[in-house]
Amino acid sequence: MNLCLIIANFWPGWGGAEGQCRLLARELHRLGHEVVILTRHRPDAPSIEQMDGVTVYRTPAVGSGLLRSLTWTLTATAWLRRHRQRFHVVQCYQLLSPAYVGIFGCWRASGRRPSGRQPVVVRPACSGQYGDVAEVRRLPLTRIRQWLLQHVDVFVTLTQAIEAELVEFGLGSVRCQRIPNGVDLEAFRPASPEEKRALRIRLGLPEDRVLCVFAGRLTPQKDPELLLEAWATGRVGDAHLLFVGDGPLRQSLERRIAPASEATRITFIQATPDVAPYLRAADLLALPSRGEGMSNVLLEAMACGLSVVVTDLPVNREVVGKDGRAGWLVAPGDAPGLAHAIETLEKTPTLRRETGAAARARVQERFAIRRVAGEYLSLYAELSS
Amino acid sequence: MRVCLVIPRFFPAVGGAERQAQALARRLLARGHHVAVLTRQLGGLPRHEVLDGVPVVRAIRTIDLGPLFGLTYVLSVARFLLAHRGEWDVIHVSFVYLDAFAAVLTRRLHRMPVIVRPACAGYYGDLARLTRFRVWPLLPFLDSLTIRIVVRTIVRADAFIANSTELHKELIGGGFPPGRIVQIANGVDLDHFFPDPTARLPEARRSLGLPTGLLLAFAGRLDPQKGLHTLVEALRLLAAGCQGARLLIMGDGPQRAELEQAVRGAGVSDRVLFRGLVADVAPYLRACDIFVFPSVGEGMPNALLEAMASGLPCVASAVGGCMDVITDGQTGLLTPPGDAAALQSALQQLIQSPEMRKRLGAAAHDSVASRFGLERMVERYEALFRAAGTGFPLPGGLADVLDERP
Repeated sequence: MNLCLIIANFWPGWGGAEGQCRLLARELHRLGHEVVILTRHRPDAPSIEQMDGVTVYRTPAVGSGLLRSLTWTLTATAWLRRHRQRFHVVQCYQLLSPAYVGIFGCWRASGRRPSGRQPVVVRPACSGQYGDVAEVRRLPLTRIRQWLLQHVDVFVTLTQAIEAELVEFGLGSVRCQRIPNGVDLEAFRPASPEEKRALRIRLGLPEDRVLCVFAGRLTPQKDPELLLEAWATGRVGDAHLLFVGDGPLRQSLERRIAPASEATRITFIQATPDVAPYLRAADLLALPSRGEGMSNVLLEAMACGLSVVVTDLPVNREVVGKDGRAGWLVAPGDAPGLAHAIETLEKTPTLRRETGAAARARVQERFAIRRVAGEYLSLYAELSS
Repeated sequence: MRVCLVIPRFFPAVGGAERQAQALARRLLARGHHVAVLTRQLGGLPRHEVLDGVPVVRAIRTIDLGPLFGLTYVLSVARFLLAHRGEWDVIHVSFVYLDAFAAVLTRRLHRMPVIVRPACAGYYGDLARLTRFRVWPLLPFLDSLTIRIVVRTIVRADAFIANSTELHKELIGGGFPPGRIVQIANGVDLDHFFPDPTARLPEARRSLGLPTGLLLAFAGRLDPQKGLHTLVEALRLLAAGCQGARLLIMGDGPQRAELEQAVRGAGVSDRVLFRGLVADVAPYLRACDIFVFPSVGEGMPNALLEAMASGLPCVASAVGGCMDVITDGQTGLLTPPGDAAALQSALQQLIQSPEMRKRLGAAAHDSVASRFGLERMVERYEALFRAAGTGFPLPGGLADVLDERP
């Protein structure tokens, strides 16, 4: 099968949607399918590139902000209209420009399908205040965007919440298909105690303390400050906190810990394309986000057998599973609660081990990329037949 | 200190024992201890959760099918404690129930001190409930044997906490070793429950949706244990001399429909308000004039302590912890349980005498504030847990140091 994945920001870069797009493309290629990724030009990357057997095309854009989106939409649409005959299905990441590229690119096109156009699948990234629907509502021409989006064939939704928002936005006539994010179980596998020790020595992390990691962009949405507050309560036992990531809050976070004695218990590491060694070296993952689509780092940490402490969001409940064996839920914004959960895990190795094992099992059963890619393929097959 | 509180049901279930456990956990956490609650997995609730700052592990999993229930319950608790060997300094078990049995049974293997806290004495008490427990539906003769084994085992726990004198006596009578029973009364949060005469003013009443005039209050689960039929009967007898007094019933339960019927039958439906479950009773208590508590069996009733802390004159049955809390005629009035005429005459006295209401209310508040503050309770638990941490059996003097018998 020939597929075109459209995404605005792609490699180099490591946002959630990019990571999922790359992972899916690689898995589909491995299964013998032809995959093309269509994305925006950037100065530090070539216009055409081969990556894990997938061809990446980058079409130009000028200016910044809305102008950049608009120009990229035009160039990418032009590219897609020229090449659309090759594809069975077009999949777009986010409700923003990639979706319009897909819609315009396949508009009344004579393709392989008898009805004359390639099916367009759109996968919104996130729900809630920071989500796709909220973003579309903030942008100009909301009514026109809403009308255009009705031409999508299928929305792939990560969660119930996104589905509800789409319906509320007046897109209830479009079919929704729930497919979760996937995770690479090979790259993210639990480390043995010896391996963990070796990793920590290599990465310069404390060897014999419980290591709690936060990985992700340091933005208000992820609420990394709550972790500092939790550490400031002094109620996290002897746990060491590791931030992996960059973002607008980084400086203020570092300033906040600089004078305090906490500096010896908190480490910052720059954002890195390969977070696996850090996750595998850690014992816990804390994710105090106020909003999430479906956190990749959460799935990855669970795949590494970490105990996870996450905010009680519907999507996080879905990830840790109905019985909640695989993690700890804390109310958003509750610093003492977060501290108590981390303290409980710090002090009871048994709970740590059990939740970690349950997390790995949960990910294997539901979020393995093989399984997720299979779900996408059966959707594509159904759409293109 | 690392304290594991084991309780068969936890939030969102809201009985007295659950609320005490919640308050204890929060205060211990605030004092710098490490606390987690171990409880039963109930449908749809997450297994690991932080509720109101308290870490909750719902790891007790059961198969609800005849004898399998008890068996899986015990195995589940035992498995948890054995896996957690050495990870807690104290295991505190609420209720004399299967968790206590499992914890004490495996005491030698997990080697963590086990402290058992029964909730209540009397017919509705832990020991009596246990003897009514049916384990083997088809083999009744095995039941008494099983229960004997269960009780004999629990008796070997490291320490017991009695929250009332009646319970203390009952435990000793039941063969529990007196040297290992410590009396610690329940505590009430004095920052939350306090008197405020302005709360009875008409506009304050209106903001809560309450009528003007003399208002009696009851708060608790609506089940037979609370003796509400006696109260309805007393209201009927009171009809003439009640000066338009009304009764506010806060709470819900299996008996609600039946009580509503009884109220209609007694012809007092215009004088009884069913308010259902109230999330926070404190403002309602402050807005009422008299608290009435006709229970037939009680451990250490939180509802009564809260009403007294709110400065209400109280009429309660002379049962269980009510007798520890109220000195008849000084800090409240006690009447024999199930005696509607006595209840009626006590209520009548209070209704007719504002002076007496004021005197008993003030005395009730002072007495509760000095003896049943939450902080005081938590300090006692802390002392007991610390002693447990340094090694049981308790040094002889400890029980006396903590002993609260009047």
